[in-house]
Amino acid sequence: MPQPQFRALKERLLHAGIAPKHVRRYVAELEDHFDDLVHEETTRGLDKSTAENAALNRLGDDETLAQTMLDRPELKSLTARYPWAVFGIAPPVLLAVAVYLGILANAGLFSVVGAAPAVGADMPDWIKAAVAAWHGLLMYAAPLAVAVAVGIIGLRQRTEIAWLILGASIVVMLGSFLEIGMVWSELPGQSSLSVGLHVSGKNALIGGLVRLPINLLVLAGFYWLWRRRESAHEQ
Amino acid sequence: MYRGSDEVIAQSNPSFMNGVPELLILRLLQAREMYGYELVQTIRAETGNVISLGEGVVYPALHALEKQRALKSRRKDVGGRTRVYYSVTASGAKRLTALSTQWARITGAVGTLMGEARHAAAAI
Repeated sequence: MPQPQFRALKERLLHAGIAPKHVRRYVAELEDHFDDLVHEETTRGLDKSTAENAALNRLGDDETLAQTMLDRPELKSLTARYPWAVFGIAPPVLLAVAVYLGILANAGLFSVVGAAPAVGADMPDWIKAAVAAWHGLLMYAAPLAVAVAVGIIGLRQRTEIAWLILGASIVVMLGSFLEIGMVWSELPGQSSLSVGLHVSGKNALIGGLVRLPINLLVLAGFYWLWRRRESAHEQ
Repeated sequence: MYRGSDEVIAQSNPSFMNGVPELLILRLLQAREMYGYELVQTIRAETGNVISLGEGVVYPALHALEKQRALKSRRKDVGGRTRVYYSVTASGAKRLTALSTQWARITGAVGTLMGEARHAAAAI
């Protein structure tokens, strides 16, 4: 946690789009430098308070410290430079990757139990239950996990709230209509797995429209928790 | 950015001083790895306090040079504290050579001009 004198600087740099890793390191280095200068000044005979003032003077005022960092556009984060990509394109891609990896894990389960070539209705019940549970987790948790990840990236970098809402909404909307289903066939090797956005048919539409506000509510809960945590840190 | 006798030059014509912090940083770090405070004190000591950086502003330059792969950094525990030490990479060494050549040309040209101006003044 930064010393009080650098807290405002940290917030200003994050809001201006400097990558959090550079901001964290810059503030940590300034704090160390400040301690070294105070030590140097007290060794020369100054009392602590005067030494701290002298140290701050030698480091440079807030405006200079901020401006020299802001004059380096290469230190800005990807999120600050290309918010449309991070919050518009990346979220659906991430969701697709998460679902794909989940399905791969599913195939891995069949391999582990040695049933990959002959998946059928005669599979043990525990496998069917595990597969159903896994698909349920992917359908309901993956979109939320991606939306939360996108939100955390944006919140850490103090991105404008509009971008966060855009990114999270895209994932949550897609996720609300995401359907993963397994149809077990009596014939070995003929069972099928379907993945897609289920928007055709009244029931599918209603199901998605019910999940949408629930997902948004869960996300709002995460946002509230984050704000609470940040307030606790500031105090 | 600069205090002391260079302050007027730096403030009235910042572009004139462009590249100087990088040159000094690369030159000193080529000799040995250093952390920020150590680097600033070395600049002050080796230039006889003629060039005295606003001490905090050295870090953005270090970060930028590292981003450009001219420097590399590593964390090192010293006396119970973790310091970030910077050193010059091969690419940084090439850049130092280029900057040094450029700087020698500028100082040479300015020196020649100043010499001519002195001769002209003496003739008058």
